[in-house]
Amino acid sequence: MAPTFRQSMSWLHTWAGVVLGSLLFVIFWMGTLSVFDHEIDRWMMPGTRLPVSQDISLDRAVPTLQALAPDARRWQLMLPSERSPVLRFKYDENGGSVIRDINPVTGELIPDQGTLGGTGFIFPFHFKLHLEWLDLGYWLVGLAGMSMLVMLVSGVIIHRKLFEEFFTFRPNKRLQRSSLDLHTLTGVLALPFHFVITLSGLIIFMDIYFPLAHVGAYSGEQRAKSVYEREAGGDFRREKANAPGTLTSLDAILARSEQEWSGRAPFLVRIWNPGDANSYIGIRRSPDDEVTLNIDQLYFDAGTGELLYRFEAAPVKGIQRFIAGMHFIRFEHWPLRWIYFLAGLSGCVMIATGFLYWLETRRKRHTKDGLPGVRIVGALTVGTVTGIVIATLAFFVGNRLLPLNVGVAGVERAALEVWIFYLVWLAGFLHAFFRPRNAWREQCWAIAVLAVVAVVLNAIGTGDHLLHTMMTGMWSVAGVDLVLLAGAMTAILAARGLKRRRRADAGVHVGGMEMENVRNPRKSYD
Amino acid sequence: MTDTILLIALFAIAYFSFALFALSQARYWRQLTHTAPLSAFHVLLLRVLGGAGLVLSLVFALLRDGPGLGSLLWITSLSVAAIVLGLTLRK
Repeated sequence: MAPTFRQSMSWLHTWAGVVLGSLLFVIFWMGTLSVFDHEIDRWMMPGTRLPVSQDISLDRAVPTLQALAPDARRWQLMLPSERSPVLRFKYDENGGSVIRDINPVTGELIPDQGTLGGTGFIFPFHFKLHLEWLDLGYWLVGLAGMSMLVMLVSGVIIHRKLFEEFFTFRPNKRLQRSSLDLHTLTGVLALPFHFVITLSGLIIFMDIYFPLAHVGAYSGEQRAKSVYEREAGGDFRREKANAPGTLTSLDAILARSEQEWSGRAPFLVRIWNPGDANSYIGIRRSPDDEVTLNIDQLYFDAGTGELLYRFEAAPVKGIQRFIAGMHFIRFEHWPLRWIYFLAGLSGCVMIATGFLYWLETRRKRHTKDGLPGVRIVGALTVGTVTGIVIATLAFFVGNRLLPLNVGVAGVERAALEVWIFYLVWLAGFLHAFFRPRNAWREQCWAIAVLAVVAVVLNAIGTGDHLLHTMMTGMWSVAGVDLVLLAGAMTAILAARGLKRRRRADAGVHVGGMEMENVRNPRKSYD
Repeated sequence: MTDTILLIALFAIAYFSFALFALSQARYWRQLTHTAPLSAFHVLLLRVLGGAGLVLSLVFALLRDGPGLGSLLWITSLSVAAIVLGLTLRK
C-alpha cells in the first residue's frame, strides 16, 4: 500500500492503464470510426451509393422480401435516410441473421457487396470485440469501461497542477514531458466527453452487466425478464395462427404511423410471422430529431392494418434512452457528429500518450537493469496504436482489391476482409516487437501509403474519385476519402518528425552537449 | 445560414473565453504580452469576462438547437475550443 492517497491513486492509474490501455484504445478507435459507420458502408459498398430519393415504396419491395425469406420468423426493414439511402432488410436464416440491401425506389435487390463494412464489422467491434463466446466481448468492454471511469477519476486526483497547466502543451520539450502534457491536455479538456461517453456506454448494456436486476424488480423469476421487457421496452407479442393471411399496404401503415406521431417519421418496420393470419407489424419512431434514442412503437395487424398497441417509454426508461442517445448519436446533426469524431480521436491520443509516458519514465532504468517491461509494453503500444490503424486501412484496401464474388477455400468475401484485418494487425505487433527502434516511423509510413492507396483504389475501381464525389454531393464517399488523405498527411508529418528527432539526438551525441537521460529515451524507440 | 453563423460564433466565443482564462494566469500573460504581471483586480476581471463568454456561447448553442441538442453541442464544443487553444499556446 502506498503511503499517501495520491500515491496509491497514482499506482492505480498507472497499472490499470498499462494492463487495460490497449483494450481501451481498440474500443476508442472503433468507437471513433463508428461515428461514421454509414459513411464507411457507402465507401465499402459501392453498389449502395444511391441518390437520396423521396419516391420510396415498401410495397414495391414486398415481392423481393417474399422471394428472399418466405419462411422467416421476422422481417426487419430499416428505412432509407440521408446517411444510408438503401432499404436495409434483415431476416433470420439457419439460426443467424442475414442483411441485404434493397433499392428503396424500385424495390429490387442490390447485389451482395460481400463486406461487413462499417455497420457490420467496425461498429460491433466497438462494443463486443467480435468475441461471442459467453458474451466475453461485452464483459471485456464493460471491464475496460469501468476501469476507464476509475482512471479518469484517479487521473484528476493525481494531477498536481490541474488549473495551472490547464492549456499546457510543450511539444519541443523531451518526449517524457511532452507526452505527459498531451495526455493531460486531452484528458482534462475533453474530460466531460470521456466521462459521459464511458458511463453511457456502460448504462446502454445495463441488462448485460446487471443480468439479474429485473428479478429483483419483478418477483417471480420465471417471467421476470419478459415482464420487464414488455413494461420497459414495449415488447408486443401475438402467437401464430398457423393459417394463411394477407399483408396490407406497408406504405399506408407508414403514413398512418406518421399521423399518429403528429408528423414525426418512422424509421424501422418489423413484420412478425409474415404470411400468417395473426401476423403483425411493429413500427418504431425515428430518433433523428432529438438526443433521446426513443423506443416509441406502434403495432398494427398485418392483414387489416388495425392499430393493436401503442407504446411510449416511462420516465425512468426515458432517462436511460436519453443517456443512450448521447452515446449512439442517431440524431441528424453534422457539427456534433464531427465533434464526437474529434473527441473520440482525442481519447485515442490520451491513451496512446499515457503509454508513451509510462515507457519514457522507465526506459533508462529497464535498460540498465535488463528488465523486459519496456520492450514488451513498447511493442504492445505500437501494435495497438499504429497497428490497428494499419489493420483498418488494410481492411479498406482489401475491400477495394477483392473481386465481388470471390471466395477462397470456402471462406466468403466478407470473411476474407476480416482475415486481412486480423493478419495485418498481428503483423503490426510482430514488426513492433522485432524492430523496436524503427517501429513507430515505419508504421507511420505504412499508414500513409495504405491510406493513399485506398483513395486511389476507390477512384479506379468505382470511378467515384474525389472531384466527382465532391461535385455531385456524394459527401459520404468524399468524406471518407478526405479523412483518409488527412490521415496520410498526419502520418507523414509524424514519420518526418520522428526522423528529425532522431537526427537531432544523433547530433547531440556527437557534440556530447546534452545529458544522457535526455538522449537515451528516444534513441532506442522512435 | 443562421445556423452556420451561430455555430461559428459559439466556437469563436468559447475559444476567446478560454483565452481570457489563460491570460489571467501570470505565465501566459507574460508569454503573450511581455508586460508586467496583472493586478488581482484585472485577473478577476479577465476571469469574469471569460465566464460571461462561456455563458454567452451556451445561449448561442441553445438558440441554435434547443435544450437537448443545444446543451450537448455546447459542452462538447467547449472541449474542442479548449484543446484548440492549448495547441495554439504550445511552445
